[in-house]
Amino acid sequence: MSKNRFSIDKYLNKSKFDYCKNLKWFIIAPIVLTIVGIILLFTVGFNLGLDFTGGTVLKVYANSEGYIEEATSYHIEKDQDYNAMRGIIEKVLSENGLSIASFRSTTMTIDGLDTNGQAVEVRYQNVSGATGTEISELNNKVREGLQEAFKYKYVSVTEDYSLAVSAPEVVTATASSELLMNAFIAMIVAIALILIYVAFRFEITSGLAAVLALFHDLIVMTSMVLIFRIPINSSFVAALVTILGYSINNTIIIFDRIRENTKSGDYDKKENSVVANDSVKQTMTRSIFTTLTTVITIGLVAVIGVSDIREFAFPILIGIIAGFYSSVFITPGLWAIGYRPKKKKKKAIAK
Amino acid sequence: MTKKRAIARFTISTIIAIIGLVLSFANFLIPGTTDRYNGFINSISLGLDLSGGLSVVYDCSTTGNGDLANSIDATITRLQDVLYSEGYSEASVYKQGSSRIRIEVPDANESDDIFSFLENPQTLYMTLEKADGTNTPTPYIEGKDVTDVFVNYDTQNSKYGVTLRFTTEGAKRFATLTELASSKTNDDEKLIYVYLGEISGNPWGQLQCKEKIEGGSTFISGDNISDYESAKEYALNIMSGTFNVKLTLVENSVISATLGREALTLGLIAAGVAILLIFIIMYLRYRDLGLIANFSLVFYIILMLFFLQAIPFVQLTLPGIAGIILSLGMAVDGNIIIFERIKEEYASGKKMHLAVKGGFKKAFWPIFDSNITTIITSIILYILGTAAIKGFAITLLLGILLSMFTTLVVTRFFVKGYLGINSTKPHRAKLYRDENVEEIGDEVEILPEAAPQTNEGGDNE
Repeated sequence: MSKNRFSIDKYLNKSKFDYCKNLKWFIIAPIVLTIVGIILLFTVGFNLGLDFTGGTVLKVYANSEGYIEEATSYHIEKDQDYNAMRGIIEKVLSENGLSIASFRSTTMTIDGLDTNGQAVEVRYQNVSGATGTEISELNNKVREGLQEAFKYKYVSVTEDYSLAVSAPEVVTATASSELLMNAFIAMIVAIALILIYVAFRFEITSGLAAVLALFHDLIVMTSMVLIFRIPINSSFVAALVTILGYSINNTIIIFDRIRENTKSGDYDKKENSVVANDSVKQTMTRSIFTTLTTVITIGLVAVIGVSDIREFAFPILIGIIAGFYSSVFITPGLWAIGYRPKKKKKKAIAK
Repeated sequence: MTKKRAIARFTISTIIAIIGLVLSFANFLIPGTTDRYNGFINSISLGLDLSGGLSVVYDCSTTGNGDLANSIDATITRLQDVLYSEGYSEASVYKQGSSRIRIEVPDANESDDIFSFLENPQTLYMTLEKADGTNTPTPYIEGKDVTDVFVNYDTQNSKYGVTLRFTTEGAKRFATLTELASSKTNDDEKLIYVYLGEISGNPWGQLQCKEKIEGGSTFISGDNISDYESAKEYALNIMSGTFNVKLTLVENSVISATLGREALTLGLIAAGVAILLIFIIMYLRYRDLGLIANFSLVFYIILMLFFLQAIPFVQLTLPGIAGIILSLGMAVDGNIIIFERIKEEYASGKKMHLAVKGGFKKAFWPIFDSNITTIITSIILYILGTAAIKGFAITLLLGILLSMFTTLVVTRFFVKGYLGINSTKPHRAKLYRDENVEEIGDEVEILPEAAPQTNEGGDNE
């Protein structure tokens, strides 16, 4: 019984697979993804979300003045009401080729209006490339559509208030390209410091390979986001940052094993590729189990969570997998190509 | 370690864990009082997407010359700075329509009175002469010359006051003003008068200057400022007096938490299921050692929740929750690295307690190196990032420091205790070796009984 389980580790350890020799095959996928990413970036571009493009905000609120005579009164109270309202708004927006970007319930006061404080606030993204007049025409259509929809669909709950739809207003972006630029600069500085640290604690080849792996992970993430047209909001920046911090761990663990093995007498006369291959295999169970636990945790968030959080979890999921790929299939091979032992003397002493 | 001591260690730790869990999750009425105790998890401050908050819209009109659009943009930047310095790190300010500004502040309610300072803007003026009934002296410094106002404490005179920082243009004019004032013959006349709101009546304060000041900032205090609170009020009023636009409240809404709560519940469910799955995986892979890892993960969760509610500028948003759930996965990593090393050490022929010792020793540096790089990342992001990223960086940093602590200290503490209970049945910790590997004798190391104890607390050589 025990033998059976033991053999999983044994299989990973003793497998004859050559990670270094096959490097040329492993780099194909990242290169293809990078090229696709670059092409998409310059043709279709990012699917920028509300945070970057701005959009339109409007409110559906209770109003004592009854803006339309036939309007049925309505009292927004329960969760079902919100969900029903959301459904109606969603339908009207999609008829106009739009979709809800955010939906929330508020209590509000508007100057000069007797609302009983109940409202829902909806935001949607404007059609990209549309001119100001086109946007306001569309917004008026949306408003009319909503007024129609709420006029007939609702049953009276209280007689004092009916539902009114506020005039849609355009809001500017909360995040700017400046924010992206700032985050980009911060990430470059962080990567530079990581390079210095790894070069100092290990050696320069490891440092360069580790940094290359980081770029790989971030590029793959960006390419996948471009391919799947995931909306980019400020949370995407947070996702890139998370992977920047997380992905380096895998690489370091393998390089640590390489460092240890190059010092040990067993590997004295062996090729770099043998050291690298054995190091990858020795750390393989850890690489798999750690990736597995993180994929499970973040994968659950992606499956269970609401759509906002999914936008964030998806790129992270890609980043974790890319991080596993680069640290196992790419960096050890790169190290084996670039690494030159300092002096033979040193090795003799170590022995 | 004797079995008795080991059992005592686990019993006490379990009691601490239970107390920690109660403090984290429970809500109860504190006996004998009317106060409620709220668990850590309920005290974490939440972002707008989760907790709701305040949303206000102001209509802007220009106060004087200047293009409205430019003035609004400048005002938005300043408002962001003010709100950030007031501790509302997740507040967002943006333009709505062509002449409106919308401000959203999460986790706040009407009673917080955040925006009162906006309705009482007081433009600051500095003049060389005192205003008397008939003549209004021309100000050298006006509100728009000030870039920053903050409360400061004058240790020499034990008084609170406000420090003003000027724009480049303002700094030049302030230098001229101080030069003119200090060139007067009489010491009593070397004065600059400070007015708030309008240049008439008694000045709000006066500055005595004996020399030209070129630094571009100055400290003002006066009889009007009695304590920190009043200094702060003035600082905010002066700050809003620099806005260049007049703000009129048009809409005031409280965004309710109903819809965010759904997202939060789903996030918590995801976290719960994730933790459960991690527990199962760790148990299946490492059996007894896995249980220990799970036990120390419980401590990690308690500590994480404690610090999240204790650190003032952490405000949890949806991505923040995902980040924390991810950090759980990362926290397990350290344990996996250590246990894999222990497995290897045992497989190479070492006795169980020596394998544990060797495993921890060899796992220390890889854990250290990999975490340091992540710490570097989070610090850089904190320094260079924007407000939202800063909050994220703190959460990340906290997660790493705690996971290092739990793996290198807590797990180690428990594994040593575990050896006191079981040091003869390696299969219970899923430690195996090939039959042809010979066990290395004790002569390699010191006495087996003493070994784990004497080396307690020593992480590395």
